[in-house]
Amino acid sequence: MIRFENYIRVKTVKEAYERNQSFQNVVGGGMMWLHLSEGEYDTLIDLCDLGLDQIEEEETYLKIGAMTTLSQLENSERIKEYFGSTFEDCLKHIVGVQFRNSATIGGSIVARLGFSDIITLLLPLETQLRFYSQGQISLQDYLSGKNQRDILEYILIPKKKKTIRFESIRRTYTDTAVLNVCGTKEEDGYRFAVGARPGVAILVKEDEEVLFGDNQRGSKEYRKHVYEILKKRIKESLEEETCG
Amino acid sequence: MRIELNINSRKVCADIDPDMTLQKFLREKKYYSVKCGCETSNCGACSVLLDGKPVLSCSVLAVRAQGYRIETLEGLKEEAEEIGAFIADEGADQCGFCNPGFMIAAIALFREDPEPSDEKIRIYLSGNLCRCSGYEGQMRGLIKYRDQRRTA
Repeated sequence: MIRFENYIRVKTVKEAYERNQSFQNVVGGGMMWLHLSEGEYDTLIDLCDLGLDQIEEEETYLKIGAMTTLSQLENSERIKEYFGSTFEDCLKHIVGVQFRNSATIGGSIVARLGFSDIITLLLPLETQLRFYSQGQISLQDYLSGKNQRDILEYILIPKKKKTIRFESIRRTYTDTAVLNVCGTKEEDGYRFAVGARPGVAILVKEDEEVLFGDNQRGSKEYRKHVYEILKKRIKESLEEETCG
Repeated sequence: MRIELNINSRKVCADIDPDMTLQKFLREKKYYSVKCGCETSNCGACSVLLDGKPVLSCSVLAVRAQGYRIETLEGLKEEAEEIGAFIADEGADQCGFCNPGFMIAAIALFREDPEPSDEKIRIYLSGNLCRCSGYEGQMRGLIKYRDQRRTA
């Protein structure tokens, strides 16, 4: 379990950023995964007083605070208006209601978790991230970049009423995915985000090769096989939607 | 560090280590309905209500729970007895270890939605693990509880 000597609820994002420059400190989001780590730190920087737990609508995008819980996303009427039940369908598999009431979208993204369902869901939506210091970057760039010890403030999802489909395969209903795939149809063809490869999710075109690996949940060969099936299901579902 | 928590409408003050979880704190204060299960955010046995929402107390810092209304099963006896009777009647209350967690989730569910569908009950309870019963007993109990409220 994580250990730390001091706890501070910061009052500004600037304060969180400055304190986070020390490698002896750590930022706490929902802390669902962080508390399981074996790290020993000087100070836990808690962002819970920064008001970053709102889902707001701006002119061109939905602006989601990094401390917004997965339950808030699952139940948000605003999100349903743009993306139907896809968020709900994706998030309902994550452990249980109690877990989703604490786990945050920011924590899921910043940790770059390979098995994350939410990262796979957000990739085809052209999601942007707004950090305190480095400003706005795409989720895709963030996932392939280095950890900057920055503070994630907002997740920005373009308001495009995109039709997306999320599919995953799990050993049990609430287990982490053996493979998760989220697809959408663009003007020049399909795009698929593929996560739990078991590496962190990547965004590919339909015929692009995806690198899979082995872990205790499944083999590389199994994932490759399942990917083709999930892709087919998503394409059929998207076609049905398009044809009405 | 010094904290002050609101537990079952009572103020509780204590000096704690900053990294102490709410679950450990509650057990130390003799709220024994809060079980020490997996401690890895998986089993639901340590569930409590935080401002009315069920959370896993093994994953919440005691210090972070300041300013919230914390409810354990000790403070929810009336609702727990009512729902518990239906679960027990279905033989779902076997070793009993997971039961407080199930009750907390069920209480939160029926407060949020007095007439949940079978599917919603299933989803709401999916974060609570039971090693004895196979879950069908809890499901039957809660469906009967819901149906009895409809006709009452």
